[in-house]
Amino acid sequence: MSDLSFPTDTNQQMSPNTQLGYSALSYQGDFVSAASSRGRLVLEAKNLTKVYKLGFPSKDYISAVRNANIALYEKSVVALVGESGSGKSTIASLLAGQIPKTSGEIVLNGNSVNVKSNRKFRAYKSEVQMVFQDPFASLNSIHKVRHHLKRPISIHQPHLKKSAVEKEIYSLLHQVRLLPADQFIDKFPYELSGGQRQRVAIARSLAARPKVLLADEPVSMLDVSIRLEVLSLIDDLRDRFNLAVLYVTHDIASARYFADETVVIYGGDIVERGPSEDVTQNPAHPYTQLLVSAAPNPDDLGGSIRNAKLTAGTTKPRQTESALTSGIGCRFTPRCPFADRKCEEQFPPLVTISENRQVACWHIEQSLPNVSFKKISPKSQSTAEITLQGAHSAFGSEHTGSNHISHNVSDQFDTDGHSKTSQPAVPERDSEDGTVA
Amino acid sequence: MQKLFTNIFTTKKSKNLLLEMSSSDQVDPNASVLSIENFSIAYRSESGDVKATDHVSLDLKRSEILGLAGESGSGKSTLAYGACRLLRSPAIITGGKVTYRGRRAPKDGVEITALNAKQLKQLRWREISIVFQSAMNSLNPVITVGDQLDDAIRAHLPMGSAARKEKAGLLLDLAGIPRQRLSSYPHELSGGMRQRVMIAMALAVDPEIVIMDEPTTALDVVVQREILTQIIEIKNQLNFSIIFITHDLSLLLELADRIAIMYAGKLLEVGSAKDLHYKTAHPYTEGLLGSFPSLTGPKKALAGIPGSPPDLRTLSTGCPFFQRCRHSSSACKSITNDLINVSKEVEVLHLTACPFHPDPGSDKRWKAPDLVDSTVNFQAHAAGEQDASQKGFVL
Repeated sequence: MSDLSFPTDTNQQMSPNTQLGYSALSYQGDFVSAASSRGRLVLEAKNLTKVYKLGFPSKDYISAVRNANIALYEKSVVALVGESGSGKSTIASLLAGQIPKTSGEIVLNGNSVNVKSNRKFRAYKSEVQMVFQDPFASLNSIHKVRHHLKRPISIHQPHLKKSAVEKEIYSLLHQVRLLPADQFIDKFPYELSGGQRQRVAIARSLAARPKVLLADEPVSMLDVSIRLEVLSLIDDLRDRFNLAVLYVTHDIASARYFADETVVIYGGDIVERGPSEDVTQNPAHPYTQLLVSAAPNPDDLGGSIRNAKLTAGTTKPRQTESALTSGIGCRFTPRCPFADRKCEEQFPPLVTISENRQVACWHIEQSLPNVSFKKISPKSQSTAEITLQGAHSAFGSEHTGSNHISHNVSDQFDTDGHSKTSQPAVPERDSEDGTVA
Repeated sequence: MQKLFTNIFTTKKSKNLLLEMSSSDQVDPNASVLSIENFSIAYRSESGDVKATDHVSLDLKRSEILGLAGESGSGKSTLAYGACRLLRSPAIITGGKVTYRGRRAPKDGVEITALNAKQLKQLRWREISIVFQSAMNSLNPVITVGDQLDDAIRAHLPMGSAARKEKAGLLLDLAGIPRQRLSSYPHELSGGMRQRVMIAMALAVDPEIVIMDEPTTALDVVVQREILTQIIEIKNQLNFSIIFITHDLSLLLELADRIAIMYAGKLLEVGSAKDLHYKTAHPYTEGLLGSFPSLTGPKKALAGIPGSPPDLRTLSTGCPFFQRCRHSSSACKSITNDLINVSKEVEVLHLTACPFHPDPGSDKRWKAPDLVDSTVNFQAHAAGEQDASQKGFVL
């Protein structure tokens, strides 16, 4: 690792690896989104950035999203996964045109969009619609379902006559399977269950006949048993309406089932992206590994939680405001078991490790000790050649005994009072191949 | 005022303020701390009683984590709150009794359902404490965390101010929060930290039972994991019992010793996490288990549970899950919902309300009398009712 030279300018996220000096990574081709096979490109965000100014008296800025590149394709679902405060909802709001972007570009159907005037906003909205997290708050409680659907239809399809509008409302209710439609059309939101309300919200966003659906945690407020119905509904609608879907969630397990591509975001930076199955089964970035190990695992009966072993990384504080304001370095550094000086001082670029996977980490070779990167040829069609048995080494409970790697910043950040949990002896790290001896 | 509970630990004697409970005499691990027998609660309304909890019998053992799972409106919170007499009109207890048998309680237990207001005051917090749903918002925004902890301790324990302060500090240590946060106001803490403070508050006066009502629902997975690990760690130190209420069965399977599945105010299945997961004996549990995506193992078809819970005012006889059940037959309309033990091991209870459960370890065929082929029946149901959600969710 030490003999590699890294350029300091890291804005070019898509540049070939050779320029970045990753000699160990021999994949040279361009990155191709795992979602791109489904259909044509509809909405694209290029280097999307959002900076918030902190209020008086502070003069600091928080960059909530930095240089995010996201592409949404017809009939595809891209999942945006991260913890609260990671900026995933900000990206959805930026794409929806709800908040102005600081820099970067949003491209819809090949045209760069700059939503300034009301008229343009409305035209944009008829293509890009959003479904919100809380179905209890997003519907107006004094209006019936009919009103909620009638208004977007008359706004976005003004040419329709009264009878046609009524017909459209019924068809929408059929599409989201609120049946019999006669019964639901005259109900108030309070008469509906959470799942039914979210269906109304989805029907409302479909009323504009959009090309893109931005779903901001559409099921996190619903019961576990209802979630699946709503997700399978969206899954079904994307085929029928040729929708490009952005699915914002903190539940990485649902992304595995639902999304073509999973994009993991931490502190406003995209840290990993790739086909959902690959990302969830072989997480490459230490943060993705943490997310995967933290998700409830019903097959792990009486496992890691019950034995009350605090795994590395979980004892670290979350990103703080200061981490978001300081521009340099990897933002995951304080919680990362692999962090060193370089991580604090230099921002890791998003590196293409195979045709449709990218990771932003200086220490991929250590976080994925068993990967032999050299095996990946530029022409390889999948990541199948990568062998990743040790992918969970940092956080997985099954490896806590042997694969712990020391972290030099842990003590000063470990405020949880659990530094007492016995850390195993620091293993010697072989710097040549990045594996743990 | 007559003391209901003996104060067996005085603060002067006990050197470790927090561990006073666990240092006490060893007791039978199988003894139950809380027994709920035939307990029924109804919400009175003009259009009839809503039977939110209907003839529920449940035991909580010492230092056990009992999971209470079900959809919204299944009566799980009502059951737990009702057992502590925390509900007020229009909720009324229509039958049954709840007995508390903590170490400080009299030998034959205390019948909570028969206590008066003053006695309840002695019971609550000191014996049974609760971490409420959306607990992070139930801290007082204008009082510091330390003062709020102090308040709880002062109300229940005869301690001097220095000792109280020390105890509050110990509590924060336990919850994994730095001590200097005692002087913080709630808005200065993150959501996860506020949740930890709430857990520290619930443990402030060493209760024997802590009821946690969806304590991690508003948090994301990483914080959820941290807090659950913390809870288990504290539990292992202090030896209290937990009733953990949630709708997330995947979480409970990992966390709880025993799980009780509630639906429409009734218990449908009670058993160890392992039995519930691998020897599922009720279709509703099967539905719940099939409705969350798993991160490990091969992708499997997820079905979810079609439809929505029934109206509790107009509940007909028979199995309440009848309409949504994929294995249902006409015989289900006349079952009694009594819990049957299906466990083949001695001293292990695995109860189910479904008399047509498959034999454990068999081919998992549900055997309602006139159910010829469960798959055919399932498809017929799907066509007739909600076609949408029956579609297997495989991508």
